[in-house]
Amino acid sequence: MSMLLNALLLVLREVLEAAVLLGLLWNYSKLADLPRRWVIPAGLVGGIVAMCYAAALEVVSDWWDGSGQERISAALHLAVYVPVVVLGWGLYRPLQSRIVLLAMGLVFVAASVREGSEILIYVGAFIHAPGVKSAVFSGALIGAGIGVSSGILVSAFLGTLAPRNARTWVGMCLILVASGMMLQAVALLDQAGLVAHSTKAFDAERWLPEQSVLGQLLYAVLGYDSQPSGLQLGVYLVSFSIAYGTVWLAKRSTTHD
Amino acid sequence: MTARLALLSACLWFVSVCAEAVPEYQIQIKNHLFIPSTLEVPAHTKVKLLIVNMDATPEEFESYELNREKIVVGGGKITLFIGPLAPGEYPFFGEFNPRTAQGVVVAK
Repeated sequence: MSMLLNALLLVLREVLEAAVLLGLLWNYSKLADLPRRWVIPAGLVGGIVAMCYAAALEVVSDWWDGSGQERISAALHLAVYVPVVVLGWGLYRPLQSRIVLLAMGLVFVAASVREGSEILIYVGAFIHAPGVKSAVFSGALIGAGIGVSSGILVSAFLGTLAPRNARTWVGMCLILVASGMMLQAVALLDQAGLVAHSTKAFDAERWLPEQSVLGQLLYAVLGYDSQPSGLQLGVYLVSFSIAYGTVWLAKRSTTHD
Repeated sequence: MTARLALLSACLWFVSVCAEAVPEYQIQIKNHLFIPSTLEVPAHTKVKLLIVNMDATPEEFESYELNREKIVVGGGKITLFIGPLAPGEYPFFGEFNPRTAQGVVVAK
């Protein structure tokens, strides 16, 4: 695979998740009738924290007996999931504006930090490599462009829907993205040796290989894993049920009011 | 009472998982190559990999088959756990230099 294509896929994979999340949160703001200015400070904070995290990665890697990267990444995944559950409730029940804005900001910052830091580390690795620098930078730019465009497309599509349908779509997409993060969080803890290894729940590698383009895109957005362990699947189902149940309860109580 | 027992059991399980002694293997990254590029590990056993990056640039250890990905900075080292694995071959690669940085874990 050429360096340009490798850079394109790597950066696209990292940008896509944050871009899609931003597209969903942008529409959430519209549905909640809130200003969308929160994106600017959240983007700035996400960028700054990502830079700090990238700079400190060597130190972080040594924390907790070498499991620092995994623990922090898993915590960042959790920092997306929990506010998404709160936002799910807020889709149908009134929440204070500042809580909604804080939750949206936290989701975007947490999603940006891990992905942003990896892009910075990757691109930074080739700054002094004249042979491949232009290919890597071009690929990274194209990948970032496709990722951002995808987020805009998601946002534009949701913007064409009637508010009732948009609410359902935004809620379901947020739940799927956040539950996927919990599935990946378990994989990280397994990698760090912090959870007991469990056997494969199923193997979908033959039907949709994880390293195929579609597999990688689904991994980036929904945390797709072709061979999840039983523990991963269990955590995914529980996470999905909690988030979906919260939205369902909020919707039901609105109907009964 | 039942809740306390459950909590205690969970804590003991967690501690036992953390305290489990596992065999350790080392892989070096040099000139964007994994050394050794073929690593034999015992099947059905959890093992710890220590990956030492001798290059000045960072690399990301990645494997779809092992479901692992972790960045190792230039001149740095990381640890990660794999397995217990069924007998077979599990390719891995360096995501930042996939053309050269390739290897395989062989579980026997």
